[in-house]
Amino acid sequence: LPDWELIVRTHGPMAFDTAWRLLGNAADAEEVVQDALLDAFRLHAQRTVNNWGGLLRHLAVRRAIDRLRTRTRVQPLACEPVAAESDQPEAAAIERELAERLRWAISNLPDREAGVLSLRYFGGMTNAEIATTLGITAGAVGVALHKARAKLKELLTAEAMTRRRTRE
Amino acid sequence: MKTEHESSRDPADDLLDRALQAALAQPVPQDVRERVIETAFAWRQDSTVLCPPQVGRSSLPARTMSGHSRAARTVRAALSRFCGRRRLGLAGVIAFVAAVAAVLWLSHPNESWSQVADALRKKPWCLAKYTTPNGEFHEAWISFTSDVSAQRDGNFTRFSDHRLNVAYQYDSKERTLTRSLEPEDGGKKGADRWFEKVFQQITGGAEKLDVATPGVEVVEEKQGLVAKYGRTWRSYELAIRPVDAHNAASKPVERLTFLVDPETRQERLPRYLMLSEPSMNPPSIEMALSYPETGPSDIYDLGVPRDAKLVDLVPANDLRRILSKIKSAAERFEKHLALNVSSDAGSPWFVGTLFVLWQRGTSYRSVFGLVDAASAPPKTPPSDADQRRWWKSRWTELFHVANQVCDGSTIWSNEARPVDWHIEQIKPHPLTSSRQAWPQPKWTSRPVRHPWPADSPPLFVAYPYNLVNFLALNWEPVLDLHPADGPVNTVKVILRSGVPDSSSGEERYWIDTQRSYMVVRHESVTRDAPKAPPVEAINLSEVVETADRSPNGIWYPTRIRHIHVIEPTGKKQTIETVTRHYLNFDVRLSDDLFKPIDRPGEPLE
Repeated sequence: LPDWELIVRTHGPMAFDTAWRLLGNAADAEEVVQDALLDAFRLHAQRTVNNWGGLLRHLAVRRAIDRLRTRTRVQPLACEPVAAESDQPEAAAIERELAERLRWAISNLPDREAGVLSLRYFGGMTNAEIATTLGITAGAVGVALHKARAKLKELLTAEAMTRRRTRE
Repeated sequence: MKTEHESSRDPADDLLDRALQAALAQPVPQDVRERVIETAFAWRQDSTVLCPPQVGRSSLPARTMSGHSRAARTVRAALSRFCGRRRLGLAGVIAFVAAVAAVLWLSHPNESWSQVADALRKKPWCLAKYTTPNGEFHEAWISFTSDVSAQRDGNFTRFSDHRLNVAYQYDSKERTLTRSLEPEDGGKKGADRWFEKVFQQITGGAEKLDVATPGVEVVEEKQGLVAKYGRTWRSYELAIRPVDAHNAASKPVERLTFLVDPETRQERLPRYLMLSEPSMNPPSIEMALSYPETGPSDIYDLGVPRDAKLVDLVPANDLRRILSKIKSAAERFEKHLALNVSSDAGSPWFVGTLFVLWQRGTSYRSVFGLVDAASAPPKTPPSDADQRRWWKSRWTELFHVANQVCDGSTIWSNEARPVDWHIEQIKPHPLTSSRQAWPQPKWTSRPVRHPWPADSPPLFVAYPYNLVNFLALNWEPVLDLHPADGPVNTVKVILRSGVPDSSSGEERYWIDTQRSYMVVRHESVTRDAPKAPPVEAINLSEVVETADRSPNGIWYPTRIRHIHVIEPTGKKQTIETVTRHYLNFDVRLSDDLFKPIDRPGEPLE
């Protein structure tokens, strides 16, 4: 069996970063990655894994998406402070809110599309790496990514319009 | 000045990209990240959390002192659990076969069938289909690479992610989607190995199948060429029967016939699987197996409406962590020799029945020390006597009756008893009999379905298998982090049976978070639901009164009070006993101890 410590040291941080970007909340990211590591630890004793980096990010993404779906709609206040010494607090708040809206939108995507998009943008994986990790073809990854982007655009735009109408 | 590309760009693209950038720009909390990583090492260093033993997890061996035992589970039951707990069906068998094929082919590639593995990697899904005589269509999907499976039959649709141990089941009649954790074993392990053997041999082109395995008896096997569907196939036919020590003959025989295309040597994949068993409905089915490129990515892909009511039975993280701690404690408990003494409540500590246990991991030997009716009564020990030493000495005055031996995979039980033993058993402690009248050991065996290192006294009270693996029993957990009752420093877990009828019940556990998550109190309750308000009855209460720590720092009970409520003659009767447990961890346990051979006079060293 590969060394567990090596696996965690090598790939754990990236799994955390992926979950953090997807969740934007330290406590949630911590729990999600702990659970993903538990899942991975169980697998570590059970089977051969060729790509621990991909698998850990995949597990973290799956857990993070589940977590996102349990949240109520947009929760900008749950977001961590961006930068303590920001000289543009208003702009930072807007960016945080935008990120939260994105997370809400991702939580409304089907599993595969949400997973592929998260691995691509937040996990920094290529289409080929995602394909190998998920056991699907690179073409299927491309299709899922395209669909995910289209739906996100639709969701974000519709949400923005609703907000605008509410303000008006 | 904008470029042509920029000027034609969809504003929605900009919005999305800005949102992505905003999420990516948030600085990662380094301190939390480091803490997560270090915590992961702590688990490993503890050899704790969710680290399954290398053997398959399955059943609780006998609760030796209490006389409870779980019946050996059959392969059929295991298959049924695999397909879903609410409905036992053939789809589970289909899924199971396909899953095992997938796991086998992908996880054990070697030169002899590497071509098969290569072919399958290009075909990451297996699909099994059949139609019942009344026209009901069944299908089962298995992903070769993602370790997920799905089934659709009748009113039920299921989707399981085995890597995450999460299972979804949709009942179209109720329009309810249930999400739950799969049991730790998923019911798969024992049967996994069996199917693994079968498929290995089929894919290897074996002329004769050797599929003997604990728990499954091969009644008949045939191999040959058969003509079907307009062509010739190589067939592998097996008649199997789950082994049950008590009534093997009454168990149904299941027949499995795999049809493999002998022409396509590079793809020695089963294309058809026939299953028959008289008690099935229908008694025989023929499944077509195919290997498509894609399959469902979630349960909604199988047609489940997204607005279906979701019942989420996945335990909260808090509960998972607590259960993993309990499991960890059980698995880290060291080898030991336990002198367990059962006394009637109110009796002094030296009046009781001695039950000796040698335990190493999931292997153990248990022996009763019985009082010979013809022997002189023991001298009353002095008030300052060392209880452990006194019982160790007393052992030499008793006659020894082997109870059970387990080597981790097989349990041997000594069934030999005198004719009137059932009467002696209900008399007050100590258990007394005639050394001369006691028959020679008569060993029967059964496979260990669920090895559990805390399955004997006193650990079965402290770290109960049923609590950690409640999903196998279809119980719903409720966690109370601040219980209003029970000992201090405890959290309370209630397991409720899922059927709110007169037979519903609860198992209540108070878990001491300061003492390696040992259960310090347990109640087994039945509720007469039709009455208003429902009438509760506590049928069993176990309270840990004193405890000690092992060298590894794992707590274990040293005195437990058990209160059973029984109704042997229609009238409730309460039996209160106290068990005392003297454990010695400085022991050498030879492998021979865990073999089914009688070892009269085994010294307590």
